[in-house]
Amino acid sequence: MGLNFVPVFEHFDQLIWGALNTVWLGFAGMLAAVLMGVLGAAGSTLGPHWIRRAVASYVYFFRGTPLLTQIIAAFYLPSLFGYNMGAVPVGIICLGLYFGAYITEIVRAAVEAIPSGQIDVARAFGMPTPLLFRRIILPQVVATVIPPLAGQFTSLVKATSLLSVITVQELTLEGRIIIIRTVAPLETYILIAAIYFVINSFIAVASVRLETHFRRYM
Amino acid sequence: MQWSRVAEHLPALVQGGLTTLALSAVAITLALTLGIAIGLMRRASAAIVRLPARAFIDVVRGTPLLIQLYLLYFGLPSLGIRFEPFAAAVIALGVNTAAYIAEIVRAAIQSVPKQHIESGLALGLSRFRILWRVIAPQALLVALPAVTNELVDIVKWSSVAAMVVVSEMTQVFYTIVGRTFYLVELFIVVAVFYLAVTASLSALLRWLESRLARYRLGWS
Repeated sequence: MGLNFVPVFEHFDQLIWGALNTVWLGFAGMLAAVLMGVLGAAGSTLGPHWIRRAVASYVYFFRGTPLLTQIIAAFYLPSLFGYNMGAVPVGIICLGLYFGAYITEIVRAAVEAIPSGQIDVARAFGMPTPLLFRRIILPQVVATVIPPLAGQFTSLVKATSLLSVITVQELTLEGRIIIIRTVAPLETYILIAAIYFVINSFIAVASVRLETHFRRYM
Repeated sequence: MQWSRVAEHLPALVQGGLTTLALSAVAITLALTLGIAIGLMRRASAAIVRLPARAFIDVVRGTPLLIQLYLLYFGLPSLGIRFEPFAAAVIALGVNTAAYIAEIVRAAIQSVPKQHIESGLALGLSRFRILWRVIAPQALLVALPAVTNELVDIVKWSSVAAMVVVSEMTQVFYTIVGRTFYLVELFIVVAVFYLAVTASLSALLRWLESRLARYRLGWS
């Protein structure tokens, strides 16, 4: 009994590699999710009725079903149509769609929170729409959205662990491989948990910095 | 669409659905109990009570549920602690959500105006009575919408139990899909199940919220 981390540390390079993969999957997934979120929010605030309905169903469906189930379904779906798709793109698309549904609601709420008086005043001064968007709407939306978005980013980084199920080579899968070699599951998972914790701490710190930076526009 | 082929798997799917419900129900109970206890600890004046609660919340929220589950199920046997898959999944889910609920509880308690507590003390109410009669009703109302989200999330994240081979809905889906070709039909069944459960749970909790809204007046 007692913990012995030495055998796991012999595979330290693998852990670092897995961690780097987790980080880039996190960034790629977040990029896709923010893209979906902005599109969804734009659709549901500016779009015609049928687009609003479509966005609402998208949000309802992806938030109401488990991410893991979506990932498994998405992994087998392309082959059903005789199409081959790597696990990594499938994983990034899944993360983007799932977290995009949450971000849609976050961005939509931020846009709707802007007092309509501000927009009326800008229009009364003859401000063109692109400038109105860039100077009035965007700075406030960005400032409001950062804290909840950072929360989503943290959830997303943690959720990348689910991609190990469809053989994406990230930290969790790397851990499974190390365990086969070292037969030290407890030590390996403690170290892996610590790595995720460090990554998420970075996100938390960066989020506070960014928020104070953008708050000056409020 | 080959719905008749899906019907062959109906018994397994029903069994999986029931397991998901049982798993979620037990995990929700655990998460609420533990979450409220840790949320209260977080408000304690003694650092020896407050700081472990804070560490627990930070560590649990900073690490993935899947890793927590693996730690419990694959890691702890090294220390001679063994769990059944179902028990490991319930503990991981309950503990994970408890950390989120604890933060919500802490914030909700903080939102109760200090004067209410001071008035209670001035009136000679015991600390427990103040907690039960003054803080709890108001904090509950503040916390409920956020807690609702967490509890609904438990249903969805119970799918992770599939990774330690608890035969709940997603695990059943995973095994059938791996060896058949009617993925779409199966996924529709599974998705409708989860949507129905999450929608009814949040409707139930929102109804509860509306029932509790009478406390908002501050007198009743």
